[in-house]
Parts: sequence; structure tokens; C-alpha cells
Amino acid sequence: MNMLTETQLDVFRELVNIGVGRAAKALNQMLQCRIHLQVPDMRFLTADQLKQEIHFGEEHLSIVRLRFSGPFSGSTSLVFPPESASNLVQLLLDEVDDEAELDSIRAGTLMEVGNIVINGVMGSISNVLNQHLSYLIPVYAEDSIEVLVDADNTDTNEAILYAQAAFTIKEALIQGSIILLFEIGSLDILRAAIDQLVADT
Amino acid sequence: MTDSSETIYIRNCFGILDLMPLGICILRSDYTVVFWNNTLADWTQIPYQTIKGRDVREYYPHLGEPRYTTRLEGIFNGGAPTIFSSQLHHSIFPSEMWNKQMRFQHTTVTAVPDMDGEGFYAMFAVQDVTDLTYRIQNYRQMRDQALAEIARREQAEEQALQLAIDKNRAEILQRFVTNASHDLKTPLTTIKTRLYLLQRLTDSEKLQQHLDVLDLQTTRLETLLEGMLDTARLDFSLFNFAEVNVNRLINYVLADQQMLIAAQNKTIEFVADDTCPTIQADEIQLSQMIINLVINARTYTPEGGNITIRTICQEQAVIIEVEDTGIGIGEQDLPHIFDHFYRADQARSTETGGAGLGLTITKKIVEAHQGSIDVESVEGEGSIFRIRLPIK
Repeated sequence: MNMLTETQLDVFRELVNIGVGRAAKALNQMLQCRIHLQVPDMRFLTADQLKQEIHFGEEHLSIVRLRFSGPFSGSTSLVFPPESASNLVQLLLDEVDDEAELDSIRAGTLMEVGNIVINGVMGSISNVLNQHLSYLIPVYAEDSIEVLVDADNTDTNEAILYAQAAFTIKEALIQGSIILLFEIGSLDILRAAIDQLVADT
Repeated sequence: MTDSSETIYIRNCFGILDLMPLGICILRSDYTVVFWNNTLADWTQIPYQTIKGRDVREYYPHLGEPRYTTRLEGIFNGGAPTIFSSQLHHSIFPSEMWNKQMRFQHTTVTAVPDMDGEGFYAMFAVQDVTDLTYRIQNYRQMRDQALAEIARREQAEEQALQLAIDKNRAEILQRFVTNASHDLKTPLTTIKTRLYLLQRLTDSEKLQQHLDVLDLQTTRLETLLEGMLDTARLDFSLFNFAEVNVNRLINYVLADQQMLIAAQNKTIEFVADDTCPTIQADEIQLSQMIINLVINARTYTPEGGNITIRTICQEQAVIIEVEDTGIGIGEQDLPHIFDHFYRADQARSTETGGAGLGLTITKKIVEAHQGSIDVESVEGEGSIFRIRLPIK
């Protein structure tokens, strides 16, 4: 498995930060309360490393997932532990419900938020690299990291982008994970596009 | 007027969407409506022919706000689909149901390549989730009610359990008090009997003195024990309340005391108010209280003196008075007479053998009945103890 060079990593970080910044702006436009969004940590991991490190053993993570295809293909997901997902939705809706579980209507809200964040990141990547991608409709699911990683055509030999997403709303901090999985050959194409971008500037 | 080529293109591509159970609207990047399916027309009561070619923001101005335009801009640039959920937006195209309720809508907007293949349309797919939303609200209400009921029952269970524990404790204590009282009295009785016999078997004066002291001490011990057990009973509220006729109770007590009083050359009289109703009281404790007062009156009244007991019935309470022509209580002692182990005259009480608990116990019994006790006294002339017991 090829890891990325320092330069390539830096570019990626920049892209993700820009994307998250756009997402934060969109969220703040839409919501009554102020929401602060940060990416405190971003790394490339192998599939095994990811399964070990993130939400190890948890079965019912709340996942919003967007699949894309084109010059490079894969999926981008925003993942929350179930209580965090529920808390986030309640904070956004200004609700108080001690017994809150994430029913299908509330999942819709999580989908919208996840969708905004994911679109921010994907928009940033596809814009800067001047690549147009096709997308499937985003979906919501409750599953484990193992299931997410092993789905579809994910190349488990390839590096996986993992970024922590920290939401701050009304003094509460909710942590989610952004996970970018690539299909076979896709990360190579992306690396080449990044190298081209660096060369051009 | 013939349809434009775009209209034909749209109808060819998207006409079939008229049959979809979703609301479908397609916007050009300048926000003009190029497609508006039957479902949406039905929901909004705006026919396709009316809205076709118009700026959608004329009908739905909120779509011109930054929170929508920022995201739709991404779509018009061929970006990823975007979602407007029913909880954050209620609906994109506000419309009423047949029963006048406003619809809840979950909307997904996707980028569709336009006719020229260079730009993109925004296709809105609107899902009606009204029914689902209300069902979930109902479910939540039911769940909350069920949880409240469970909490209420758990509380009731806890209370019942606590009550059973308390009752058990009281029973244990009652048994203890009865047993202790019996176990401790038995040896005391034996000692007293022995002493009595010894006192009469010897004629040595010194021995007699010792024996007299022993006798007095055991009597004191007996009284002390009795008093302690009484306060224990009172402190732990081992009461049995029932309807009690006060006059009858006093007569009963006096029947016992009459002879002793007569033997001491004193008189006792009971003036009863016959209009007195029954009161809620613990018969045993009340008797104890009357006995205490009568014994005190008897003890502190010299030979030839009188004791009078009265009952007076008022609207809210029954008053019991115990009056004597005895030695009275000094002004400095009056505030303390109800204290534990207090004796006004140490020397005298050695004579009388009292433990100093009698009035303490009396007061506790009165308080347990929600009543009050007070005393009037003149040294050398006598005392009146007045007890007020409420009828309810």
C-alpha cells in the first residue's frame, strides 16, 4: 500500500479544511443557533488500522454515506456513535427528550447535516482538481465500521482518509468521523491529479 | 404557440415522472421552472401550465434566501445531491393536505445535465412524510405516558415497601419492650420479696438500716426502669388509636387509686362533664398519663388533703384537670418540671422514691395526642394540672 507524500498529504488537508469551512458556512446560514465545525485530526490509515482505531466493536453507528464515481470512485461517509447522533439532532432542533432514539424522521435531519459536510469536502476536492464526479443519492444506515469498509468495491489494500469532525453547538461538543474510501485505482488517479496541481502552481 | 425545443426535451426526458408518487420539480439555473409534475401540481394546486417558465421564487420566495441559494448553487454546478430534511425545513413547497394540515416534506435535489450538456438543472424530488411524522409523535407521547406510569408504580411500590419495613420495625420494637419489661422486672421482684422477708427476720438496727436503703434503691430502680420503658414506647410512637370515653377511663383509673388514697387519709373526687364525646386516643397511654398525675397529686399532698379531677368539654377539645391541695411548686421550678429526671426537692423525692420521669412521660403522651398541658401552682397551697386534648 502506498502512503501519500508529505506534499500530497498537505494538499489533502487543505482541501478537507476548505470543504469543512464551506459546510460550516452553509450550516450557519441554515440554523438558528451558531455551529462551529473543525477538523482537529486527519490521517491516512489502512483498512485494518481504521477498524481497530475508530469505534472499535460498535455495532450501530449512525452513518450518512455518499457514493461517487468518475475519474476516481469511492464513498465519503460521516459517522457518529448513536448517542452523539441523537444529541446532535436534538441540539439542532432545540429539543429535549431524555429517551431520544434516532427515528426515521430524526435520521432525515442527520442526513441533511451529514450531506452538507460531505458535499463540502467532495465539492472542494472535485473543484480544485477540476474533475467532475457523478453521485448517487446519499443514504443513512446504522452499521459497524467493518461493514462500511467492506462494502461495495472498496480497495481494502488502499489507504483510507480519516478525519475527525468536531461540531460545537451551544457549548456542547459532538465528535464525528469523516471517512473517505477509494475503489481500486482511484487513489492513484487522485495522487496524480494532486501532483499535477502542485506542478501547475 | 408551439413548445420550445427545451420544453419538448424536458417532456421527453421527464414526462414519465408525472406518474411518480413523489413531487418532482426541475429548475433551470436561473430558477425558472421547466418541469412540475402532476403530484406537485396536486399538492400545491398550481398547474404545470401556470408555473412553467416562471421564476419559482415568485411563488416560493424563501428559495431566494442564502440558506437555499448557497446549496442550490452547488447543484447548478454539477455538485453532489443535497437534502432538505422535514425537521429543519418543514417543506420546500408548502402545501396543505386534504384535512388542512401542512405537509411535512423530505426533499432531495440532484444535478441533471441540461439540454445543452454544459450546465445542469436542479431536480427536486419531494417526499411527503406527514403521516410518518405524526405517527412518530403519537408513538413518543404513548411512550412518555407509559414511562410516567411505570415511574409512578415504582414509587408506589417503594412506598409500600417502606411502610412494611416501618411496620415490621415497630412490631420488633414492641416485642422488645414487652420482653425487656418482663425480663428485667422478674429479678427485681425477687429482690424486693427477699428484702421484705429479710427486713422482718432480723432485729439488728444497723442491718435494718442497710436493708431499708436496699429496699429504696430497688424501688427506685423499678420506677426508673418503668419510666425508661415508657419513654422508649413513646419515642418510637408505638400507639394504638381508638375511640375512647375519657370519663369512663378516669373512673377506671380511680377505682385502682381510691383505696390507697383513702389509706393515706386523703380524699379524691371526680367531677365529670357528661356532655363529653369520645376522642381518638391510645387508651393505655392515656390511662398511664392520668395515673401519673394522680400519683403525683397523691404524693405531694399531705395527710388530710384533697385531690379533685375534672373533665370540661369544649367544642373542639376535652379538658382534664387534676387539682390538689398539696405543697405546690415553686416559681423557680415551674419552667423545669417537665424536664427529664428533674426533681424540685431532692430530699423529698428520696422519700417519695420517684425517678423524675413521670411528668416527662405525661407531656410526651399529651403531645402524641396533639394536645397541650400546663400547670398553675402556688407554693404551700396546691397545684392544678390542665390537659387539653383535641376531639379530632
